[in-house]
Amino acid sequence: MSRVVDADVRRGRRVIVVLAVLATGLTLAGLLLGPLPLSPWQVLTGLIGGDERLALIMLEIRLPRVVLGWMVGASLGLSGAALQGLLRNPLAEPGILGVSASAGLGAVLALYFGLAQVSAWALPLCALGGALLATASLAVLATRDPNSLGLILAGLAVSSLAVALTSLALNLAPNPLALSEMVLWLLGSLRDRGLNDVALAAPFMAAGWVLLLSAGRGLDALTLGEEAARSLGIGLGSLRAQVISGTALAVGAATAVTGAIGFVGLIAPHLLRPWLGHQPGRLLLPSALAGAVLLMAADLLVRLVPTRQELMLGVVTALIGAPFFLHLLLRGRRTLS
Amino acid sequence: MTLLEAERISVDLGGRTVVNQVSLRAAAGQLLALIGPNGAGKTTLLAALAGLRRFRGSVRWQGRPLATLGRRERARVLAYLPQGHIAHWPLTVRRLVELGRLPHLAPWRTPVAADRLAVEEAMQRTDIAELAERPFDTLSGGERARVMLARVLAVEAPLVLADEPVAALDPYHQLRVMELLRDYADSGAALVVVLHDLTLAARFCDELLLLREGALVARGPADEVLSAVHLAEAYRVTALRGEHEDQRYVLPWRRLAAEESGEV
Repeated sequence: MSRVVDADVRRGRRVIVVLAVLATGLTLAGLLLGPLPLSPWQVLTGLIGGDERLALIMLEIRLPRVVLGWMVGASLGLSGAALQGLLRNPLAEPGILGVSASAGLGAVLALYFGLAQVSAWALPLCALGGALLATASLAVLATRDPNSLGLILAGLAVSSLAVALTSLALNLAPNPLALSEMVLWLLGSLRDRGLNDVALAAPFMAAGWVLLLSAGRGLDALTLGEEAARSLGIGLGSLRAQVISGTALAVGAATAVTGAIGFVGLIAPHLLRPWLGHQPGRLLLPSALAGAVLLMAADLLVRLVPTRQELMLGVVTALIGAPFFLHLLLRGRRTLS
Repeated sequence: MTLLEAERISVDLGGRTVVNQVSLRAAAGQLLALIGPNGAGKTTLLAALAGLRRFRGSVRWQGRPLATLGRRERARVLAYLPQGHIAHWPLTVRRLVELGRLPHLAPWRTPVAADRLAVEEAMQRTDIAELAERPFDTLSGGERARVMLARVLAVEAPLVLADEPVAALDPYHQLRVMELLRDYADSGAALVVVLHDLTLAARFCDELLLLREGALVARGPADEVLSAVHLAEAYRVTALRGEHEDQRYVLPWRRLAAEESGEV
């Protein structure tokens, strides 16, 4: 009998290895491919700062993009899996529920009121505040009305409000750059980000990951409902606070540097369930990896598909994610309740 | 040895007193049945004993107020089976039963041999070993009920509070589960179980507690608690009674008209 359990665990490890291989491959592709063809040797020289021009390309352009792809993708995948576990709803996701949009609003407000000029930390902190507010209000609404429809409607309200306020702020901004900024905060992109962006986001994201990854046991117990989870020694209040603040930290920091990118957190856990089962705790780490793989693959697509203007990353994830969401909704008529 | 001691428990819900001054005690080796009509407050009382509802009064575990036990310690001492057999995700049966081991697992540690053994044993006892790899959503109602009971048994707690553990089961499994609960009590645990089947309560339980409108109407052995007067007052029914193999059975037979039941 224990052999069965072992097979289960082994399959989990295999999935993680496959995801890690994919992520590594995409990392290499992200470093090697670009408008200027560089040999692997030149890439390496650039990375260690051997040649000034190569170092500029690698350290200022390609490396930050790949590293941010990892970090943002992992944050979104992990938050999606944790939110689905907490709300016990397979449709939960930071993008759909307006968490990303609210974080974007926080970032825009920091720019609008000039806080971003006062301190470099103002922008990520405001984004984080927006994400926190959105996630907390969703948790309140979803607890009161725990079915899927209630959750989706609450998310719709939160995200509509955030998008409207973001548009208003940018609309009123005298800054001519406002339009391009608006596109970024609403659609998201990994383009033209630097290692300083990575450094700014990393501590918040890391803190969020720790909170989310350590929520696994509690989320597992929540499968049995709130009362049974409490009877198993799980503190529901602290579990909620943990997932909400973890999501706010991870998604807030991600949105602060790349704008709102949706659907990664929805798709990542769904892709893994056929292999790993439905246990929320077991999906957390693999979902982070899958999120990173998805985001880097989408970003590679953005960079390689020849369009007159570079596609926004959020557009690509939405083009893939929205039909997927629709599919889940249609199937859910039977299975979600 | 008294394990659980509840004194004058009252629970208010929405301005109404749903449980009113109920006291009970359960000793090691005792299987208590909590009986009473729908809405009598059985589920609320059980949840209060489990520390899941605000209540007035006191609940003690081996003389200590239950509230002073740490969350995890309490979860190892007291296993609670809620009504309804909820699983929000279609986990496999084994994974669900394993959740019963959560109170024993240190953070970040994987289950050890003792945990696996407890899970296997719980599945054997509830007759679900062959369902181990089945997802929960493919099971019948009776199978789900047994899975949830196995989850509770896997805790290996000395005190088990179970809300209608046999409600969804066929006759064979009702008997099987009652025997199992009886064995579990005989091994030194204390159990408080909500039941609707009066014969099962009479045959397998040491003591019956009859609730009506939140208050304890009667407490004691089946003969006393299941008297005609009590059945009329609490349930508004008359019952057939008899004896078979030295055991009593009580079979609700006829409803009483409204005017009869009040003043019998």
